[in-house]
Amino acid sequence: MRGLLKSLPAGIGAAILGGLMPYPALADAIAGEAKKSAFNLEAVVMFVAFVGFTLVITYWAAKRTKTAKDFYAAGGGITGFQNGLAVAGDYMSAASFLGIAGLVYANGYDGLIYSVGWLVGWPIILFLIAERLRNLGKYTFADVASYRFSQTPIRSLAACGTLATVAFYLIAQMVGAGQLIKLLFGLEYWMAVVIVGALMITYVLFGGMIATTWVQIIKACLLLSGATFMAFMVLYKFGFSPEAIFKKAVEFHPKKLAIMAPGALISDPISAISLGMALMFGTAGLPHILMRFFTVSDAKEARKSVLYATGFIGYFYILTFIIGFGAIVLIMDPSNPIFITSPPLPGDAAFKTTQIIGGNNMAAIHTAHAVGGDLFFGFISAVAFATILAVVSGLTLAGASAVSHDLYASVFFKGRVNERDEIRVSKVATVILGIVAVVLGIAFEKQNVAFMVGLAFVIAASANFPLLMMSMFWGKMTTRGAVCGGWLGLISAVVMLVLGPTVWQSVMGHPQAIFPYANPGLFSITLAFAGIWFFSITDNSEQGARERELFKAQFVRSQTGLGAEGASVH
Amino acid sequence: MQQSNLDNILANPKFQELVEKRSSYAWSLSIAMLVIYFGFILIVAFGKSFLAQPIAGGLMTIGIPLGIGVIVSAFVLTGLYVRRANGEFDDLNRQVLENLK
Amino acid sequence: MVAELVAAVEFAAVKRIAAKHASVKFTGFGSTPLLETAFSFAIPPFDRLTPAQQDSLRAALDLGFYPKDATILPDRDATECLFVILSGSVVERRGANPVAYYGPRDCFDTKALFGTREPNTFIAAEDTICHLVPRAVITDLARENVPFGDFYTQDIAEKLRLLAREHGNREMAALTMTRLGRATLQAPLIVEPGCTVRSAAGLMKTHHTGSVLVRDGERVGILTGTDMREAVILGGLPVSAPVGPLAHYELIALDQEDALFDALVLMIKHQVRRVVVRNGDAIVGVLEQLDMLSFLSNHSHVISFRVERATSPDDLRQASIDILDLIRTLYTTGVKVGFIADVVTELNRRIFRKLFELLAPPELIENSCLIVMGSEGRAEQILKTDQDNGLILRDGYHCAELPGILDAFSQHLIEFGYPPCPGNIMVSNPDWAKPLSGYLESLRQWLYHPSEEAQLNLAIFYDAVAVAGDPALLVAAKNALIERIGGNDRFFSHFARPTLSFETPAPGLLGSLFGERGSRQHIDLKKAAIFPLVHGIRSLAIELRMTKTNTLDRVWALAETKTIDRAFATELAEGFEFLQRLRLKVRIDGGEPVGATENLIRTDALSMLDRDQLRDCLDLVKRFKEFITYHFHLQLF
Repeated sequence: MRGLLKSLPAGIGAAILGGLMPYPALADAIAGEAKKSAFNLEAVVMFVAFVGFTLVITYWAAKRTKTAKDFYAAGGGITGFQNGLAVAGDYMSAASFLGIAGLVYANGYDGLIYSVGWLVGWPIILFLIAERLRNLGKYTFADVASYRFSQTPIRSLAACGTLATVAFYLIAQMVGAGQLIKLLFGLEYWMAVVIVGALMITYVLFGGMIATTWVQIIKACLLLSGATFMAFMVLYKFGFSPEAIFKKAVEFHPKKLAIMAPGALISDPISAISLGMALMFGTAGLPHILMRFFTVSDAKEARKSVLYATGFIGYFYILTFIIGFGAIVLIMDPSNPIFITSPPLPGDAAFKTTQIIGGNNMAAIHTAHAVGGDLFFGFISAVAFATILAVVSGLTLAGASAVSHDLYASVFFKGRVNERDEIRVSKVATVILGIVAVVLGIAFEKQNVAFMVGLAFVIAASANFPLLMMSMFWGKMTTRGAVCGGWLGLISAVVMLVLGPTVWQSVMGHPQAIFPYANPGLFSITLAFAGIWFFSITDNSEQGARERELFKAQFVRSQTGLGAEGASVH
Repeated sequence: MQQSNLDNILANPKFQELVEKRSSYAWSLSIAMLVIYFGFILIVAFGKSFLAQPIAGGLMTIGIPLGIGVIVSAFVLTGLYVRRANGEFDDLNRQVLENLK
Repeated sequence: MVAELVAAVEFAAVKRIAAKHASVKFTGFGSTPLLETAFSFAIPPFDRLTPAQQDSLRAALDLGFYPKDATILPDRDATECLFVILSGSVVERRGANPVAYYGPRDCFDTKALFGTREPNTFIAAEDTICHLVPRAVITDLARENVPFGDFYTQDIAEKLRLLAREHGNREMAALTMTRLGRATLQAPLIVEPGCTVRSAAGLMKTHHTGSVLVRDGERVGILTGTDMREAVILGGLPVSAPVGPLAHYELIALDQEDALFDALVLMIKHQVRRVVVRNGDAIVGVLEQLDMLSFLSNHSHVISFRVERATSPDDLRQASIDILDLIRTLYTTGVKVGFIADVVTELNRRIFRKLFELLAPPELIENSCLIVMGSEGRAEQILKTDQDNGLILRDGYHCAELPGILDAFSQHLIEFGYPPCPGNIMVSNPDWAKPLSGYLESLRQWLYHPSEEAQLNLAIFYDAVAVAGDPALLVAAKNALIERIGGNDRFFSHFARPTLSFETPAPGLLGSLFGERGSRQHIDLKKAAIFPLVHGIRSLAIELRMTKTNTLDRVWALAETKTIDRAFATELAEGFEFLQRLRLKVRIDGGEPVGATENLIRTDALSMLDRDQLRDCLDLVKRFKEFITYHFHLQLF
């Protein structure tokens, strides 16, 4: 209590001063604080208050009072702008926020390569996929693929692809959230991850309005405004001169001038192209993102929403780049090493970027602390955490429905199952997914979360994307081709990931990786496409011929939205 | 939908016009995006030193505006598509549907 | 926490003695004032116990004290007793969510005691004292006392049915429950087709019946006194003519197991005065309307008679006003709400048809189709609510006086007490009185440019039913709608979304209804429960391209197609009927005008039983919403 009273003025003072007074005063306020406290009370109070506040706001937004006339208000409603924000909210996971800032902090320019890759998937989705998907009126790529192919094999493949994607994506979010909670509350990492996992399961099972459009919109607004403020403060401190920031960054960073250009992260052409393909095509294979195209009822608004989303996401990635550089100059400042674990201090030759308290992924969080004091530190942590909850809930839902609908109902029981049982199964699946995420989250503690998201993208791009593309564009495709190619992509991606440096070396601790590249996208995506092509053209079965016949109807419908009656009535 | 009905639609000139225009536009924009992006990635892979060149004697390297340029280009291409799709293609689509009524 | 629990246990032990001596008063813990600890046998179902059984229950009673926030019944723990709250209140939580509140005189957790234990925790919301009734005692009593046992062993649907029966026995309603086989039937008077009119008339006179049945080989027809009179006097047929060609062979018949009320509905619907009663293939008798009238001071017949005889809108107005009295009578005599809806719907439609026929020239009637939509179309009108009607004209037909006629139509209906539609969905609005092609164009617009209004229009048009004119026009429009929808999941999701527009109060909200606590003592039945059920079911129906309009019919059809399982369908159907009854009840008991469109109910004014069922119903609606959310992928919206 006494401690609280003593330190409270400093925290609030910092926040107020941060708003009113020029930089030196603020810097003094920060420097005056305890150097490292395992449990930062002000920040924790702010964190709890803001998480509570966000939950209340989202609850309020999801259940806005409606008058009697509004029975159907939920039917039209969402505009392109709003949905654009929601898509952005779904996409700008805290993992990319924390992860990219962390990458920039550790490697400088290399972080930008990730941002760019994640963004450029968007136009491709819009140009080639979104429109047709909407016209077909199918929710998941499993639904699209089983439009003309046999249900059972396609759905088992789709479910496994989705689950693998979701698993890796979840790991990234768990790692981010775990490190965040660890940093804030001074808990052991594994305890933090378990707590996050438990919260996530509770949220998904009992939250009710978990992944709704309004929740995502609010998350997006909070994250965008928080990041904008941070970037603004970073620029403000350096008189809005990027050059000044770069100068300091190069001076403090152990890699010196190398941070201004692509470096070791992408060491060879194969890695570069692999990463590029995975990031670009993975977006189209992400189950929870694809579904966002359906939440707007009007086609024009749906297209606009992609434009807005691209804008928001692009803007956000540029911000994270600035924040990453801000992290370098603020965290590695040798005159103020409060965010560093131990000597050697910045400036020493032996200094490593990993000496940051809480690890690289926390670079953005420390930057928030440095520019906005405890208040803002708590705020950004809370927003990041709430975002993680929201993104994770969307993912878990997608994963759980892959289990309950695709595996349980369609594959094991061939559609002869009561939908209320499906709901029960999806709840069980949610719990299991949560537990798996916790276990893997602990195993992958040391990984950069942006990199982990990248792995999720490799799987999505290898297993889901080729199937989706080919089934919409290539009439000669058959079930055999789809299944063989899809499994080839999925298995090769997972095997190469496991044998590659990330898992084999870092997680399992073997001295040498069996597969040399960290990102196998180039190989697995190519394999998937080639597999689909080869096993389709060599398929001379009658069934195959019938499936090729169905392409016409699918094509007309995907172009015009004209319904083919009966085709979807299973 | 009946097979004959399908063939009717496929043979409909408006439908063909829609498919052709939209597909070719979508593909050319896609290719533009791919070229821009993989161009950037290839420079990252092969031309690191090019990207590392400072601009205007400062520390800012060519790589930074180039990377941000790719982000902006994605936005611009999306905008181009949305504009034409919401105008011309939507009208065409409506005409096709009306023709088939 | 531990200390509190120990205290609670000790307290319970001490007070057990007190509880055994009926009304010993004692001072409770802390601020709790003097307490009456006698167990109230007025609480259902304990009111069904005999004095001896009451004694044995009293002897086994325990008393428990739970300080605020104490866990009374932990998650998933098997429970050995039923808790009956004496004072204080208890909240039932699932995870962090409160799902129900319980106040004094409420019991919990019957589900845990006799069925499946749900993962819910019961926590004292304030300092609470409960009677604990051991499970063994209840099961013993249930074995001895069947009505008492039934109360526990039935699930919600069963419970509702039980209550409906109770109402029937106690208060009235031979009509709902009496089987036709038990009613006063005229013995069938069967003649050969060769029998002359004269001898048939003679037989009718000696047997005091109004009709004869004509058996012509396999088929059986009916010939009434009126038919004979018309044939002989107006048609100039000789009395020696055979009856065979005169008889009607499409018999309006019911099985003897059917309820009397079904007969009433049929009579009104087909405008006949008698129905044939069968037992399997055999004809057991004829039910005359006159006999029905002795069961009911038969308003419905009077009204329908008046409607048919009406020669001016003024005549119709009187008939229409009588409907309100009819509703009241039917309700107070305990008639099931489904039947009330059937009768009222039929009468309303009849009034619309007659009014339209009075106002419109024959040519217009031939070339148009008058439709009713929304709840009127679904045949769920238990009260007079807004007009939702429209007119489909044949393409190419023009009628210069049309606007005047339609304005008059809407105006008259308003006078009759059918309020104008707030959304102006009425024939007087040109948007709702246009040629078939116009409707097809609108449908296309609604489908491809969905807005709030389009959603509303689609939903209510999907429920449309033809009441006058050429029904083929409506069939054509509906077929076009169903064809256009195609198999687009996205469309169905958007269509289904309003199901979730309004929050269904966690049955917990009822907690605040126990009395003083909380300000929200009202529940909007329509928003909280009826609309979600109706619209959710409508969404499932449109996805399967069903043509049925009635919600209950849709429920059963959905069960047929296995979209929902049968147990769930039964629950939904019974729950829906209960809600409708409650809506009507509140309206009538509350002394509010029956025509009012408010749907607020004061839950504290409900009886224990109704409250109990409402709680079950709200829980059902919640589960149904969860189903809809999953089925239509609404988690993301």
